Amino acid sequence: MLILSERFLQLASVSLWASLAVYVARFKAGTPRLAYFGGLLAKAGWVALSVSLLVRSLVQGHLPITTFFESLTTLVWVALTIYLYLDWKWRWPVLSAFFLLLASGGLAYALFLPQEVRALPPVLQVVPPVIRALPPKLQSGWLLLHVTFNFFSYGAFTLSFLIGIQYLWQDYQLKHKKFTIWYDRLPSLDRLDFLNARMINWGFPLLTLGIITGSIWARYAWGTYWDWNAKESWSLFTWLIFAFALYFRDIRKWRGRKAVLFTVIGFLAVLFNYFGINFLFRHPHFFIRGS
Amino acid sequence: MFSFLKSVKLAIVLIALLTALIVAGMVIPQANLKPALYAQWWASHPGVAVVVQRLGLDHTFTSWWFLAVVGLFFVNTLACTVDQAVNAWRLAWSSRSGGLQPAGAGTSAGYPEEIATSVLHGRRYVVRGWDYPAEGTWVFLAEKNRAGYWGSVIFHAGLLLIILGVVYGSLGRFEGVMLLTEGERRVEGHGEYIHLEEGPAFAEAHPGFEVGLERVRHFPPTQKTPAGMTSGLTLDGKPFQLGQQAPLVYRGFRIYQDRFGDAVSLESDPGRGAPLQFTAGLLDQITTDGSKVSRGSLVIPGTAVRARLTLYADAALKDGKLFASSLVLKRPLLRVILEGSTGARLFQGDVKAGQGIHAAGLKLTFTGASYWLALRIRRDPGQDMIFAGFGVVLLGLILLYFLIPRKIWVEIKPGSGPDCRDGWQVSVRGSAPRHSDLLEAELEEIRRKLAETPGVYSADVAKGELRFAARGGHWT
Repeated sequence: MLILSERFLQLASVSLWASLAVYVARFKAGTPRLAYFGGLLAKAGWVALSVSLLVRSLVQGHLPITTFFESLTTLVWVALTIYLYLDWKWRWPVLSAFFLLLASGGLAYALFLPQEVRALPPVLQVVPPVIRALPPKLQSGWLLLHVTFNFFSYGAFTLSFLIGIQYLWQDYQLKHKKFTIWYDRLPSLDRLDFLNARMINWGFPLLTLGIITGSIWARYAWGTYWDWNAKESWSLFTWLIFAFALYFRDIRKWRGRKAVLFTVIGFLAVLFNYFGINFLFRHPHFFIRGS
Repeated sequence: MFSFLKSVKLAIVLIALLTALIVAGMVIPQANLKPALYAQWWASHPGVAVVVQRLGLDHTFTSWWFLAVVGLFFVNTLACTVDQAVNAWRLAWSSRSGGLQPAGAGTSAGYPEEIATSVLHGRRYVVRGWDYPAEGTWVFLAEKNRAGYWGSVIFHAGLLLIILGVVYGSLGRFEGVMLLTEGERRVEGHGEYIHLEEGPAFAEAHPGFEVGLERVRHFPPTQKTPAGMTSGLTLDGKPFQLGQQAPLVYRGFRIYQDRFGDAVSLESDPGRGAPLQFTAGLLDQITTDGSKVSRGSLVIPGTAVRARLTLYADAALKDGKLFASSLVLKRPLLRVILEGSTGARLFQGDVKAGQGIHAAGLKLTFTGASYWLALRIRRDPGQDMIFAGFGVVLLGLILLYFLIPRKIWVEIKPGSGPDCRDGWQVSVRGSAPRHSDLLEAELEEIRRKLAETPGVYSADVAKGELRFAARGGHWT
């Protein structure tokens, strides 16, 4: 069964890369019709990734969130889901190319992780499916909520980052009067600023809920709501960045480059929290290393 | 002074300081959080460690200056909250003090008024009052989600509660780790812990209950590498079951399972006096030759002989080589190395439960194996305050995101220009304290609804201007 999950993962990766290629071609040629095929391939990728994660969940008896490989593929799925919603709502082919580059890259990275990391952890391999279970500390509804809220906030911040980059690029072209092909293809600065703010407005409450549910779960699992470990400390720091980003937008009425830069910095903090902390520090967010 | 205390500049400086301290706490092992890791780090960085200790960075999160920065941040947030509360009060009640008159005080604007109020009522707006700035001109104000003005205040109040909880908890907290082997009992007290951390306001308020460990069971029981455990405890003689998601709360103290491992019971008979029975917890779990084993060393009581012990919990032979097929205690086998005071090896051999060895003038018997359990006992008086703070923060978020306050001004005046000689001109404007990017969409929607109404002669939705004329309508 696990091989089925692996095959669907590969299929998802191929679909997303193909979708990216179509969107890039559309971008160069300026043919709107190609965007339809690009969208179709991205949706196919989403379906394949959903099947892959579903199969894996059924095989191991819990959601695929316990190893780095699993969490990365789940995170790509969450971001892809948010992106497809935005694409359905706003029809925005240029964002598609940006986003698909990141999503395809994420999946490819996950696929190139060593096989022993991608396979089920040995602990689960030796146990018959009927008694396969997460370690007791991970058997909690709070954990599920914690991961779900955090992943959706990360997905929203990823999109805010991509929109922010587009804003900065468009702004640069306007300020320096260097009008490339991008100038015509990218949306207006007002539109980008609006969407950037929307994504932060989605991401911040989700991150807050993620931290709160994580804290409640930690109280049951470790006996303390806050352990000051590297992951928690950096999450607090990331939360403060986005809290200020919202403060400056809503209260100080910051708009444009300054406001967008905040979200780019915030996303870099998210990225460090997700990758950097996991590799640089020992902390209790790694439960089963998978090897 | 107040404007300095509530200033964003101060907040930024304090957050920068907090961030620097948090990063220091992340990078430097914390003596109170990870004592073993800290000891290791101290040994490998003796020079830096002294400086770190002097600065209090080895216990950053309980150091006085971390608490001082948190305290200042509390004052800063409090000042901001007071300021926001004043603003919220002003915004929420400004329509009452803005000189507006109740509806009906002036001449009715007739049909345009009816349709404008009906569209706004349909979108949950409440008309607050009217103004008559010029002859034949009506302006009315409609509002919705007034409670949303308090969202930010409530959100900040939640943060204040959390900060208070953290500080109060740090001052009165207690946390200790107590080691017990199966069958052992201890009376809770300062001297019974292997690791202890007490806040300055805890004041040695130990509850002094008797705690006993009856048994430890692996979870799940069939698994070779246990993922966890459950344990049977007695507290003041009453039995309790302790699970990994189910801590006990006893006399205001929360009791958690921390770690567990193997312990060996030994009997030493040096040949003079009565044999001495004792139990030793083997604290290190290591993997050697593909087997997970427990390891430890001790000086045998009453002698100068050091015993280095390695326990194979479920020992078996494979290709003539000893290995542990699981971590579950089934067929325990103890590898014993005895060393003299000079470190010279006196004996090395394997013994099963019930077997003994004779070496260095003493008889050492391996009487059996059991489990040890590290219990983490905590009391954090600030915890409830923090969770209440979470609830208040969530309430604030709900108000902030789902009750966005909006004010809409509708101006109705006689139409002008050749197309609208006999009609009216309606303009719609609005304001919102936050999410103003969504306000434009809301205004467009209101204008669109108005433009769809019978009687509208022409509409410029983008400008917010609608013209009503006698020709298309049913009034004159």
